[in-house]
Amino acid sequence: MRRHVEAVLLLLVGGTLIKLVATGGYLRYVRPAMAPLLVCSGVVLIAVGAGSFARIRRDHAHGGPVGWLLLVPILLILVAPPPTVDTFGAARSGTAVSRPTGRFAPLPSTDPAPLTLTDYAARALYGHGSTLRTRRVLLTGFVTRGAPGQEYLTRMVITCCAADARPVKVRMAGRIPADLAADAWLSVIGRYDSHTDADPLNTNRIPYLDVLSYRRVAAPSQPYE
Amino acid sequence: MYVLAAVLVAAVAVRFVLPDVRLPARLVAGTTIFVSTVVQALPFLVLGTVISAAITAYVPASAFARLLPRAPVVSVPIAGAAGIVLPGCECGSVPVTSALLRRGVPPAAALAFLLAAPAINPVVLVATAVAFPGHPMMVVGRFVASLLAACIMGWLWLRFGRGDLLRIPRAGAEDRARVRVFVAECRHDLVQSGGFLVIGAASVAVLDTVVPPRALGVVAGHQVLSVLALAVLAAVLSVCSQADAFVAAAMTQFSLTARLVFLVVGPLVDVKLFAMQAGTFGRRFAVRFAPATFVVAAATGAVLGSVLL
Repeated sequence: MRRHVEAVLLLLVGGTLIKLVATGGYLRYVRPAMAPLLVCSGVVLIAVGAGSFARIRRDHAHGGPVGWLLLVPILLILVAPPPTVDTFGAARSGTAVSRPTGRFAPLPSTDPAPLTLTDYAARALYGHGSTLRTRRVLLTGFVTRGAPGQEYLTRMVITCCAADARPVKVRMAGRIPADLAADAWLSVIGRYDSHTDADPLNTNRIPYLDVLSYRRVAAPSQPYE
Repeated sequence: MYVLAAVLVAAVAVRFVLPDVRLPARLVAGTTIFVSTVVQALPFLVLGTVISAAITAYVPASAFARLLPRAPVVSVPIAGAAGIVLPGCECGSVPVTSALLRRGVPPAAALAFLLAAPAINPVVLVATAVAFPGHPMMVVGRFVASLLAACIMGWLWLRFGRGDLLRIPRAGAEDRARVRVFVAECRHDLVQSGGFLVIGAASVAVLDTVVPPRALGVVAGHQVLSVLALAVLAAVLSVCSQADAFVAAAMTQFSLTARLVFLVVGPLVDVKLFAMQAGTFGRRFAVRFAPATFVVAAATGAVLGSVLL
């Protein structure tokens, strides 16, 4: 592969990483905390690409054509950026809520109290709802369906990237949004319900939420918890 | 250069001509996993390559000979333990290892470093502790089993390894100005290992969307089968070593021992790593080294798991 082709490829990769951060598109693939790392590596890639146009005395690195493959993810991102892994991922793995290490922080004082699904599920399962009991909570997630009549509010949790995404599910009881399409995003106001189900995929417990009201919302810019 | 320009023009044309087509969910999820894996790995690949190029351009070959003990049997565990200092996941350790080999570090020691680095660095161990609250032995087990497996592989290489199996990548650039060597090495390594990363990420995406989710539940109750299943799954899924503890934590249908095996095998041998090793050290090396690593890692993980957990 010619030196100048390699250099242009690196400029493209670096530029794409920086573009992903600038537009916020990177949040579909990785954690928000990756932003500085992506920008830094983008800058390094651009610097190396630009620096490669300088003359060098002997440069006989002859690699195979494998470097061309870098164009595949770049073109995908630029031409047809893949969406989030929501519905497909949620149907493939069991709910994942680990036991929190410390004590639960007090709920936000607003009514209803906004919580992440992970936080709600942990309070419901490991705190037996004692920090939730009388309060109205506001949860945001997308709809997934289990067996007929089982509607879940779901959110994907990622640690590094969307390849390790796993769902947190909360079973909706009470005013269930039965008419909504699976994968529609909802903001739900509800109360703690002490029932739990076992997730058929991994036998983890799924907490219930007594739904008081719900409304459709747009998918949030930060789709993962 | 003209080919590159043509591809780019075609892509721009497609962007404006192509209507919104609805693709099957499995394929769409596959592209997301593919792009995510590449985007997540690139910063660590860049870090590893920059360190690697800096070693090639600035560190004299004699430096490592002085640092490592003469006796190869002793240098293996020392090089393995040195893996603690390289933060990050698998993608960074391949280029660094190739620079170490280039600088005359004995292959056995360099390979121990290659295997240990992604598994035992503090970032990974802290992630494991957070993912398994109440099970500190998971962290201990992971550290000990990974380092042990890496050392065993180093010692096996001393005993059975042949020089002709391992292609030691040569430095491609020579110049009086070291900064130009640095830039040339960076450029070449980034494009090459980037290409192999793409192959690895594509394999991950395919396998990840094809393995049926319920197939695992069937074997979860069985002691031996569950260990084997999670060892294979770790090699197939190729989750980053910083994230695999959280994936393992969610697989509550499996025993802790089986999940420890998942954590030990994953960073040492997986599809993504295999593609990068084959590209860097030669396919003849990778087809022997990866299966051996798999057996050693799974066995060490299983033994440590049944003793500690």
